[in-house]
Amino acid sequence: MKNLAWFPEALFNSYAQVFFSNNKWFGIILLLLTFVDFYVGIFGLISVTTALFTGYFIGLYENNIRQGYYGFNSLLVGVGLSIYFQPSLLLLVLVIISGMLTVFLSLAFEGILGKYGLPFLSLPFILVFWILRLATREFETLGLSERGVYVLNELYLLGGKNLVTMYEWWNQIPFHTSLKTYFLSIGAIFFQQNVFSGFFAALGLLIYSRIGFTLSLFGFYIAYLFYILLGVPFSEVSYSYIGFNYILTAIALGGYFIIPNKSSYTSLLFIIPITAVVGISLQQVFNLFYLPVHSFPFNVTVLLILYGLKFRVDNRIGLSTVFWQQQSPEKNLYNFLNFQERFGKGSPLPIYLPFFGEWTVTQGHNGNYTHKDEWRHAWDFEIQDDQGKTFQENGDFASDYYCFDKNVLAPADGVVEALVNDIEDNAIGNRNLDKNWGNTLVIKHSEFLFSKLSHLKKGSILPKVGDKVAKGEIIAKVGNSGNSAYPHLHFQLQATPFIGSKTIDYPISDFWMKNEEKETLEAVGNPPMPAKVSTLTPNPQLKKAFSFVIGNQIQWETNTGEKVIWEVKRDYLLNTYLECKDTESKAFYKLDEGTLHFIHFVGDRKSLLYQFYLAAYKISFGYSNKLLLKDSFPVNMIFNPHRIFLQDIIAPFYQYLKGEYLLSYPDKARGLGQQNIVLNGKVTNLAFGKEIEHAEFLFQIGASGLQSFQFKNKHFQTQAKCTGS
Amino acid sequence: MTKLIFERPIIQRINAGLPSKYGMAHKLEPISHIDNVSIKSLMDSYGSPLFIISESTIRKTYKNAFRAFSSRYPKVQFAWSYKTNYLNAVCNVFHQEGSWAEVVSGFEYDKAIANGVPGELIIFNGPDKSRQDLEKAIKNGSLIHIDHFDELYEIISLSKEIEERPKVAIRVNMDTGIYPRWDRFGFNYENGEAWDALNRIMANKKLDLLGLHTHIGTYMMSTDAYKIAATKLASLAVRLEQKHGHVLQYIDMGGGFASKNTLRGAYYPGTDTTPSFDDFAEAITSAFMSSEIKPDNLPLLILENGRALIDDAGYLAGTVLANKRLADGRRATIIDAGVNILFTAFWYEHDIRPVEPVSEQTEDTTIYGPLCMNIDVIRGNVMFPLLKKGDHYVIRRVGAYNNTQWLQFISMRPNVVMIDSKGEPHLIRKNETLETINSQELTPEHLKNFDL
Repeated sequence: MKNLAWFPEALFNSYAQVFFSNNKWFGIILLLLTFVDFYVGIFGLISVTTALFTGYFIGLYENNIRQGYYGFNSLLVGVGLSIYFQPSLLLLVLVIISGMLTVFLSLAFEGILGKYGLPFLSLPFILVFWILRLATREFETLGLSERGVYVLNELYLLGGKNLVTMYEWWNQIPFHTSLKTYFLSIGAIFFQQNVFSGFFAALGLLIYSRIGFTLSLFGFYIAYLFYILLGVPFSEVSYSYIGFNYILTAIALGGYFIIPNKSSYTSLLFIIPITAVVGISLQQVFNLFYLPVHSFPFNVTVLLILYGLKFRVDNRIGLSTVFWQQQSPEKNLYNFLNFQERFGKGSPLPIYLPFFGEWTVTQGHNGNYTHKDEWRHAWDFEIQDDQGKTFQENGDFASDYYCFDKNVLAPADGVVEALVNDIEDNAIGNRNLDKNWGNTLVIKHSEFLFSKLSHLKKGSILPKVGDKVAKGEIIAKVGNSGNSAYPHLHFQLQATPFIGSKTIDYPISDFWMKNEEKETLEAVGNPPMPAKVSTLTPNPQLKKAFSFVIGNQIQWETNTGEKVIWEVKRDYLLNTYLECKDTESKAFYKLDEGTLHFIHFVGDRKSLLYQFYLAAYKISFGYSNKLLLKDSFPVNMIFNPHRIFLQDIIAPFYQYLKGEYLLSYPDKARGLGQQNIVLNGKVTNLAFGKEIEHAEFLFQIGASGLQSFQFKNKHFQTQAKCTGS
Repeated sequence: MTKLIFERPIIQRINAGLPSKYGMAHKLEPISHIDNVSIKSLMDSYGSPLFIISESTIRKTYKNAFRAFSSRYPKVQFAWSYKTNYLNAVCNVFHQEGSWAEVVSGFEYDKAIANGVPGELIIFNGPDKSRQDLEKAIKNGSLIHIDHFDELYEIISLSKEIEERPKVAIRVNMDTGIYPRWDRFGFNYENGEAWDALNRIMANKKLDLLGLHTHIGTYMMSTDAYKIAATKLASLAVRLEQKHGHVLQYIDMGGGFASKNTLRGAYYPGTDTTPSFDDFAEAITSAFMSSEIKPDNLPLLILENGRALIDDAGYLAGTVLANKRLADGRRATIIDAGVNILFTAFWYEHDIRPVEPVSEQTEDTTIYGPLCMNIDVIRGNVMFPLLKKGDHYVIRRVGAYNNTQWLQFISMRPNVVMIDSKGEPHLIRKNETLETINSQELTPEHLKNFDL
């Protein structure tokens, strides 16, 4: 039975996925609600189970099965069929084969739409449902269901008199018509058109997501008012039958596929009426075939909008599409905000400074001299001494300049795309306006990401066009060619491979910056003029301690004698994480040349791994005495779920909770070899800028790696020794 | 109008037409101030002769040198060579700039510790390390650069008694195409002794082999030698990694960079012939960057420069004692600083300048020190202005070795002052007195009295 451990999770998620959720409790509530009509419940269950096992036996990626991706469409098909038809053996067979068919259709849509980075939503369900509705007209033995008429009888059979009384009581609560319609609409998503089901489904939605719940109300009332404006008459029944389209659209575009914020809420004011018009119009067409449109308008609008948004230049402004789906508007929002804060505008491919040592930005973005208009996102670098001079002697010769003839390094792995290597270096003070860029190298790092290094020394460029270069490889020397009156290095990033292409705003990763008397470590950033910047040189000891190797195990023994084992793993999508063997908690991390970032945690928050996730949230391998690293946590990762209930509701507009991270490095550098490095730090929870609670932690790092870890807060006083890694 | 200076009358042949092979006669520009502090006022306060060290020159030179390396190589560390000048104030300027300490005796080691240098940031070089010195160095976690097998055996035997693991490197000597070859220090590269020593260390599980060290010579005027040395050390590092899977943490290229002093007998002045820090840095770093060492394993580059970092910062100022005419008709000027305090006069044609303004008239002059010893010659012959008794002179670039190799001989060693970056002079070593000398002496009871 161990092999079936995935099943309950997959089952509940299949229910919850109807509302884009993977919340177990929400799934259970919905599962129970389908049993308001016993046969609907049972056939729905059969259909989901069929689909899940089909997926399991043909060997689909288990995580996707667990998430319920292949189950929820089948659920809708099963529920839908059993609402329309009398329970019978034939229906059972139909439910089973249509469950299977839905899985394959889901895969087909996943394949087709996945290429465009789009979800398949409930398209497989609609298609299968139509297929069966058309096919079953030929099946004489299949009787139309009359059970909707005898709901009370069914309930009586199921739960006796009490259940019937309760059901009646719910349906007779004098909700406002609109609210009643809202509940009916929610229930209708899985064919349960009664206030009782609707109310509890809405409650489940609230438990799953505060933002999702508010969006469902928001979307519904926009549509409600729009119908009043249209003057289109609708009966409760026929309206609620398509009303859920607006609820689903609002959740999908207001907060699930798009980060919930002011813009996303505003956009719904327009999107919901569009959905309504599309829905009304489609209904006219499908009426010809006697088919219900069901959730088709929602599918059409959502896909259309998501696809359209992909054509923007920058996906991170206004309506920011979610790039890492976490199955909850809140989580998406908190992580998005946190990601923006930590990694700025983000750089999926890190670009590093192209030199050794400390250089000064003598012209930054939007510079005073030449970095203007289309070429504004560029840097000029020079070396300055303490007096701010860039040369020794009188500066009459290029060789007097500190930066002249210094090595230029490849800023990242790539292929040489274009180069010029034969322009004479200018005498000091002269410019070659004819060959503006001078000796220049353009390197392709990925599609639409090229770096360009200019004014290089004549004949100094080492690679040839087409050569591969590795990050940090010496590729040229700084010169004084082109529009350069004195030696400097011009560095820019561009989206096209030409010398002279316009620049793009793309940050540099992992560098030290001294600016305005402050020293900071920048994970990503645009160094401004006149900052002094230098590349991180990793401390081998720190790097060794925190460079987790996939496949390794890290073993701990705590002061309570508990033994904890973590495994370093990588998933299907190449995310790297530590997994605790006992609790199955996972801490996701991102590791590059100079820094370890933890980016996510799932699982048991009482585990050692969670404390480690908090403590090792950001560790720079680049070492400097008395270095302070600061960072911030996504609110949901550091506060208790009940604590953020209120925050969730207003989160798209305002955040009053904050989680801050601070790590301090030792006061003194300690030479080479087996010295212990002690890092300590603090995690602080804040509300309205005031500290609510905090935790303190400490790492000891020896020559062979991590030695011990301490974590102390209100609830825990952990001391753990690393016994193997 | 200021009073015109009086100079003694001389007879000089008019040198018309093309200049001789010595070029045009040139006037020695007087140096009256160091870092805007008047030399004369310093001598008024601190006596004559007087060593003057410019703190800002040290810092400037250090930064220039460090920039030359750090802008070419990712990991660079300087270690101040104590023997070059171990006046505590001087050492601490370097430590403030970030230098570790490089010492070559138990005495220097203790001096570095007393200056507050953490034990693990001291590099212990040299052929003379006693068992006690080694024990101390191991316990402090200092980096021990092994000079010979006997020292290695001593460390191995100590490692059995001491809990701390000795952190060692070996000093390697090699043919870098220069003469003389310094093969008396460390293990030879070409005959395989160095590789042998490395294998023995690797076989011993109690030693941590952290690096390689070389010091190819002193006053090196060629950068190629460094390139060859760096290439050879890199090849040792690569072999170690191939055979033992051991990655070295650092390579110490020693020092030996020439300063801008002119060596005795050199045809061109040192200011023209000495390679710059950039030249040395380019040679060394390019050898490492183009070696087979994996980019991730590039070792820390340590440099132990002494002379090139401090020479320019030191000045010796003093007073003319007398002038006389020698038997062959040449002029002789006797000054109050002798070779006992200016040891480097044996090596260099020191740049000696007047302090007060002078005319452009010069005369072929021998400059003698005050000692009653025939060897006490500061400059054999120099076209020198016509200084008279009581005038002042200043000798440039005396920062290296003089304050460590000077002798108390015939006269006492003078004061040393350091001018800080704000132009404030600080006395950093007091002159010796009769009490200083006598305090060390013990006279047996029966010799205490005599009756003349």
